[in-house]
Amino acid sequence: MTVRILSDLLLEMRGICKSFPGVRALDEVYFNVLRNEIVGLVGENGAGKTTLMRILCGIHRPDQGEIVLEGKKVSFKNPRDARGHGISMVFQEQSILPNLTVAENLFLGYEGFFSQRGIFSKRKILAKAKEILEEFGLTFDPDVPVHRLSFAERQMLEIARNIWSAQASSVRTPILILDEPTTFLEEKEIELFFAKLKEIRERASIVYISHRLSEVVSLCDRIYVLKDGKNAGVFDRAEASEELLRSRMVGRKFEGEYYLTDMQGRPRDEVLLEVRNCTKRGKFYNVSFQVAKGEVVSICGAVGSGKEEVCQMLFGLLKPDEGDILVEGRKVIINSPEEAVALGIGFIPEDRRSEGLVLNLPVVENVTLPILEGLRKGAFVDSQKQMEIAEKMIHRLNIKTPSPRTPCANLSGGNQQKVVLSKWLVSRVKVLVMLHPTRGIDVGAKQEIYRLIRDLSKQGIGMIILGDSFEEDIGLAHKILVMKDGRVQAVLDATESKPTPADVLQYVV
Amino acid sequence: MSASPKTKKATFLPFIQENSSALALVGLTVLFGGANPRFFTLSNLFNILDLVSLLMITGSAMSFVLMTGSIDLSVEGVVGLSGVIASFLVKNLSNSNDFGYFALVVCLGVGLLFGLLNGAIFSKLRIPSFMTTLGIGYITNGIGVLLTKGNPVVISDWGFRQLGVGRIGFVPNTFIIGSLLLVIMWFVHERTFFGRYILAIGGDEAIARDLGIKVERIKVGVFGLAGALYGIVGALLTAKLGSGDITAPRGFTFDSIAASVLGGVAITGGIGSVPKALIGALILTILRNGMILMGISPYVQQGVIGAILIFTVALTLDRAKIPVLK
Repeated sequence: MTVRILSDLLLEMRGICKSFPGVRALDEVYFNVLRNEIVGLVGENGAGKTTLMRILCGIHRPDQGEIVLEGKKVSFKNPRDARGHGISMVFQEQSILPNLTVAENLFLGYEGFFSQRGIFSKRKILAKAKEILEEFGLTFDPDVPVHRLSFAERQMLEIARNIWSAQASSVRTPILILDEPTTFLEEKEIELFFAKLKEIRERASIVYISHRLSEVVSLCDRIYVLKDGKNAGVFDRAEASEELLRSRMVGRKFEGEYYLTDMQGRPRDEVLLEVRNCTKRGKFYNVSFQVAKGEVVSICGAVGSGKEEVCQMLFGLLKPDEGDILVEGRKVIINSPEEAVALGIGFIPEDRRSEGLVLNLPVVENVTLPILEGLRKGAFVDSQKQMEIAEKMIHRLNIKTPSPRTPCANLSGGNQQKVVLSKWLVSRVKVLVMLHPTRGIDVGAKQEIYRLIRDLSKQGIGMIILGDSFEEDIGLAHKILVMKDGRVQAVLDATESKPTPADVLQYVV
Repeated sequence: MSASPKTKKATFLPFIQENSSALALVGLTVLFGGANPRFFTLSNLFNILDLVSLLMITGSAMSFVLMTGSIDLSVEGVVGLSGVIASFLVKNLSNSNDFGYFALVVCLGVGLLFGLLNGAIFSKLRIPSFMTTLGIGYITNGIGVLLTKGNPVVISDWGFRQLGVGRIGFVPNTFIIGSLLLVIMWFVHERTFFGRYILAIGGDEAIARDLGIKVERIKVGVFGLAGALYGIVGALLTAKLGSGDITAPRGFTFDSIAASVLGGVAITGGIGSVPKALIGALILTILRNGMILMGISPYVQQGVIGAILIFTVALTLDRAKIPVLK
């Protein structure tokens, strides 16, 4: 690593304070970016990392504090303004237009470089686009509509656009903020992505927000830790370790029993759900397993192994060609999510923001949404009862919300996930199918979700989980189904003693 | 990230999907041509060109509006009012004006004015476009009725009438004017940033805004452009009918929307082109013409077109991109 001197200082955020109704999001936070470095930014959900970056890219304005860019004080009115100074943020949702071509996306808003009168030559634009794509080592056709690109390709396209456009507006070193960029990437794509980021570091500075501490430690030159809206340390790559970061994030030394295995109960004998020789051609073949009362079953496997499809089948989103599904010993046919719910099967989707919650509705409405029918008082909803139930759930699941009337959109990711869970609890679900229940949630909140899963298990709810990592699957499950190419390769017991990730891995690949 | 083979591979199904409107047009032509020998006669083809010429102008104007994700329900009102104003400006039986072709320019101006008004009210006052344009449609219609007291204004300017009824060889003048306008529209859409911004706004307005595109200005521009075209159509309609009649353009709004949608312009915005609008206008016109030739009752015709429209939207609407339908 090269030694950096003070003149490398590109950006300084000093004493940044920001409050939202009821929450002090940032308290006297400082944050620096040097020229041509990758800075990590880590912290639990609600620690303020996203707020800080939203201030930097012009979405929010700080209550106090100043931003100094290249030695000059700046304040951004909106994201466009920040973009003009070379600062831009790449969100998971992607600011790229799928209905336009790659070239059109690259130049959108920056066409001034091609023409004064608003008319352009397609040939010239395509040639220039090809040149830019090559600079970034991207090999796709500039004339192809973006909706045909993969998620990873679109992400790189957006990054290329942001850096290209900043440098074309004569910003020497653009600052690129990446918010959890690897969440939707596959293992192989992540490696390539990191290689690309290291190339991009030669011409830009990168702020890298991630929950995946191992990635942060291996990729970033320096790492800022935020905790409860305050600085909790800055570390050079040489001194940073996952352990250290984790302990700073939660403010205590991280203790071994991550998955709370000592809290694991025993499944009961009564079988809640049975999948018998189910086949969906092209997706999975001859899958059989049982979920007992209180049992947690994890399904492991690579993308394309058929595990997601098995879960979709249980929620009526996909119908098996052959085989039976039995709920409490009774053969059932599940045609739709509504029918699944009626049978006592709940589903926690991967994308909780769009599928699991009505974000603009308050917590109380979301919690009681599935049972509103039962809360009728004449033609109206018994709002007192509704509130009682919501308060009970907030207490029981330890949902951190200023009030039951706060819209879910204002909660952190972990707390939103708890609201999703509570929805199923009030509707007295028997079996819960959970896709990546801790994805995008920070370490501390993850553990609360684990604790909840233990609780639910003790109450006799059966669960099928697709975890975020083998460790998580192993840690949580009583039984692990390993799938590969649509077939069950192995069923591992994890009640008495836990298998190692390597044990699981040998069946996955 | 890496070379992606799927971006290059063009398979059969996407080809069908992307060109379904053109294929439907060919299919309809073959169907009606086979069913009735009169379909392919020179006089019927002339008839089709004559019928499609005004629709392709309003249809392409509408397609611009739809591509931004808005809708324009003021077509009938603005076309009707411009037509009435044209009839008062050229030599007519109600007053002593004789401004000749200059009326066309005034109509363009009147259309542009109300178009800009549509755009300004919609984007500056943030009133949904369907409400704004519905209102402007009523207002323009009302002004037209006031001016004419509800009676058609007969024109006697034979030179001006040639715009609507004349022909060069077998090609109607209206079709030539319409084609010229469509070429301009096509150029604006494909080769100017204004045109690309239309698609960007329809694709995702928030992203377009963040990238520094002046969304409001583009929207006002689109409605203004559409209005100007309605104005020209109003003048042409008066030239064609020989009188300025506020009720003459009845059905133009629905036809313009139908033509865009049948051609494959997404009613949800972000997808479309001028050729698509043209193909849609041709489909609608040939469908009507063919059904007339086959002796189908006009009432049944309306029903068939309505059903086809719903069917088309049902086939083409990408519901995955729309979380909630309203």
